Amino acid sequence: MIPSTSYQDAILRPGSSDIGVLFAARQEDLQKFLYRRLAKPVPSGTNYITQALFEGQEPRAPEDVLVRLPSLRQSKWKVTVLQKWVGRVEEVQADRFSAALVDATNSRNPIEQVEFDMREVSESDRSLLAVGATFYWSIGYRHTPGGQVERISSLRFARLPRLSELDVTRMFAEADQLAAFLERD
Amino acid sequence: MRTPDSEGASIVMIGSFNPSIFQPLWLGTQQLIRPEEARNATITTIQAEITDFSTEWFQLQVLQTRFTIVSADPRQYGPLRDLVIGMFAILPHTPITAIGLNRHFHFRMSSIDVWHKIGHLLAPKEPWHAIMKGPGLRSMTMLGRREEGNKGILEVKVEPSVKTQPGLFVEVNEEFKPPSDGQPEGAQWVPACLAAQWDATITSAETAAEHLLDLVKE
Repeated sequence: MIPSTSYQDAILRPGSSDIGVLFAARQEDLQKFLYRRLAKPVPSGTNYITQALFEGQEPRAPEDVLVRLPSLRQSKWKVTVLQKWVGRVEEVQADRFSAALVDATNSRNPIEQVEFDMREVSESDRSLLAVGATFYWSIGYRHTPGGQVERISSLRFARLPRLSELDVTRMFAEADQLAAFLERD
Repeated sequence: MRTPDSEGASIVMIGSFNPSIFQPLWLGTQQLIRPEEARNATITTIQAEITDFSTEWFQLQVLQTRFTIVSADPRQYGPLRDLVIGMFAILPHTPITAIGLNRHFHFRMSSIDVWHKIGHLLAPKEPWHAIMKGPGLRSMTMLGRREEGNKGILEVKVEPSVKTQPGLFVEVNEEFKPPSDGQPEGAQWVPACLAAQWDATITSAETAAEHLLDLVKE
């Protein structure tokens, strides 16, 4: 199992050998997720702990550094989704766009056609708005840390890596091969 | 589905990672997150051995052998998958040996009695009375497969919630390994695995949680 919400039972010692990561053994200790460099052996003939520091001499950096890291954090807001859809843009106009929506809450619901005002789209997502683009639309409630319940509607466009020229060339080659196969008879 | 008190989903990978690559500005430059998200990310640490930062909707923690990305915002489970697909489409040669798809819930139970009842149903106490007093279910994990023939190993964990009292914690984990034929290499199998399995894991977690709650429906 690869659990995500807790680190109990896991002790990880990556191959680099000078790094150790200690995980909390108990649920209540999850905030004490520790990461440290393993101590290097002190050269024989020195007494590291009681070593005198002379004037002008920089204190020797501790070999065993302990850094306290947070465990996986909780969101500041609690969001309750009432319904969510995955949309595909079908037409873009100056101030609005239309899309086909698949209900991601209940896949048995039929595909719907919906028109959105352009102002629903975040400024930095507008460059992604084009025919064929995929987006996620959710409506629900957000509970703020201050106790306020807000009705929310959020729209986020899918961001997938651009295809490289090599990928495009390969896909066209595969399509040509498939077409040739289908047209063989 | 009954509304949980809180929930989250995550993608965890085991492999060999270069943590310092995974920086908010890199994700922004690759257009995998919004430029504002990249600029406003809260960075805990970025070093050769470990990266840990969070944005409004996800937290990313990368060690040299472990990659964990978590979102507690159910609106963002689709974008979370897209983000990981994007990262490993750009880093296809990262050796990844296993991927775990996870979703968890904390449900408030209507009473202590109902809370006990689900523990008694899942783990009857009679066999334990002879060896301890007041036995109670601390944690239970069941192992199986989501569907016959599915390649993922499914684990469902049930525990008393540490966040909600009285509450039930349900975690569903589905673990996948690279295709056994050895192709494709590195992380090239990861995008296809996520594209094929993520939605199903997310949905099956809801089904599992609903089923467990229905056992004590009044």
